[in-house]
Amino acid sequence: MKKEKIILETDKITAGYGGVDVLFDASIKVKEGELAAIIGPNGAGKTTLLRTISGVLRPRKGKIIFKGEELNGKTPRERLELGIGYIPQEDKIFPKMSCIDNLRMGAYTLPKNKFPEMLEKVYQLFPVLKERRNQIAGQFSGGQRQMLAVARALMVQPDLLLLDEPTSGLQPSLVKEVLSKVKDLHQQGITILIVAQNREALEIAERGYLVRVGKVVLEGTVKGLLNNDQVIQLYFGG
Amino acid sequence: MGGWIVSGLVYGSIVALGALGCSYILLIQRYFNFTAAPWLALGAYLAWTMMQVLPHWGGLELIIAAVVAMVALGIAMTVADKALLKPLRKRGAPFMYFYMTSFGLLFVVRSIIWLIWGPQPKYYYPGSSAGIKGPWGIMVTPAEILTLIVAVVVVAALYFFQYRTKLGRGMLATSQNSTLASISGVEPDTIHTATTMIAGFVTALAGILYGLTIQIRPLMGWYILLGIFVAVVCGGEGAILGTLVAGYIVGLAQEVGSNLIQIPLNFWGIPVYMSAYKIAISCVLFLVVIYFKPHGVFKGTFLER
Repeated sequence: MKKEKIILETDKITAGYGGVDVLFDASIKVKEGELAAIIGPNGAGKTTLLRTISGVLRPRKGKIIFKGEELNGKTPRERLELGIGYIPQEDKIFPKMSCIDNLRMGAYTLPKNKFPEMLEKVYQLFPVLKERRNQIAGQFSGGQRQMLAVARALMVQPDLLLLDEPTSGLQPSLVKEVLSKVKDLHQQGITILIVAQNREALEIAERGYLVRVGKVVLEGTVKGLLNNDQVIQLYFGG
Repeated sequence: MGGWIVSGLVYGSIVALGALGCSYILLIQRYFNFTAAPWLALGAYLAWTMMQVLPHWGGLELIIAAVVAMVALGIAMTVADKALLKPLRKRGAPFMYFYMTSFGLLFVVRSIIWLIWGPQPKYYYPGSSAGIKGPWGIMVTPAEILTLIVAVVVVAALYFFQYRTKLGRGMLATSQNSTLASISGVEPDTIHTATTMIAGFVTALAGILYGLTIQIRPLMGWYILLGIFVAVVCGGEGAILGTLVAGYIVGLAQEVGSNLIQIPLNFWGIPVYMSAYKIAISCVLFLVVIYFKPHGVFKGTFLER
């Protein structure tokens, strides 16, 4: 049985860019050990929500609470050290660095002697990264980039992983592979909040939130969501 | 000819050091630091003032003065950055604001130098120093040999710093993807401070070596700025090895180029003295590079690093 402890809570977050808000009073809760999804059409504010949680963007209003601690005013580094890992949708690697240097950047906050141990762990998870460790990351394919991005975030063993559309732009066979890796990570005990762009990504989750025009409009189990008219419309058009 | 090449390499070494400072700031902060011109002069003057206080210890006084001036200039540039440019960065100002600010600051620093030290040229060691005779009509002064060595050592040290240390890697990461760098735990403030400090060190060093091989005057940085500009564009931003080679190219183009063009002018009795137009050669070089290789001459080679 899963514990029912809340690890992350956003309380009425309002945020935006350059004075224009794109997210209004967004409240979500993520339980410890859970795999939660955020779904919604393009431009709904899903990425903005992840950016405020990771500390890249300051919310204009609202509170973010992680492990009982208020995050407002904390820098991205402090949030990382508390255990929040974030993998953006775009620009998720350092393109001019080698694969291993990207991983070194992932371990930036770690003491030097812990690096080899963590490196071995992520190599086990993604053997292809070991093979290509000296290759420049900019030459990687979409799937390899995604794996490198996940591996970079895993270097510090985060408790909560924020994944922004990890399958965007990938071919169907790779979508399955990436999602099965996400599931593996979840089974290893990492709490995951994933922005799900397609049905397959939503299906691996347990619970989800539907975001529309900057508002959380629906919350429920994945089963419930998949039968909801708004969600069906989102994924199948019409 | 041998003499021209040596003076080209010496001048090129100074240009390269100045260019490295600008290159670092361009890489991390995304603007070309025009203020490098008076900063370079300020570094030279700070060292000169230190030298007046220190007794003569057979060269040791120069090293102490240089180190003090480097640190002082690094701090001055960092303070200026925090006071003037950090607020712009925070508000996400367009890049033009950074150019205008650094251009405005150029005149401020330049006037301060003029106020404190006056227009008269100054020398670290008054009186000409004896040159050492080499083959092919080469005459080198100890200051010139020192300049050549210092440039290579500094480039090697910066290369090591950039690619083998955590802070250096954090700087590279910030230049490639600042958002991803910050979520990896790199603190932007630390990176900006390190950038301006390093730029201050090498800029002061360029000024001191210029003062040592030529002279210290308020406009010394102004005359070398175009060469620096060309070396930065030629070397490619953030390229440490490329910038050194680009500095050599600029120095050689100015020294050897001007002397070679002088030969036919003398032959036909045209009363034009190319030594006054050395900077024009840099300018032509700049136009050629920007036209054919806008991303730097060494793109795709090991000199890109």
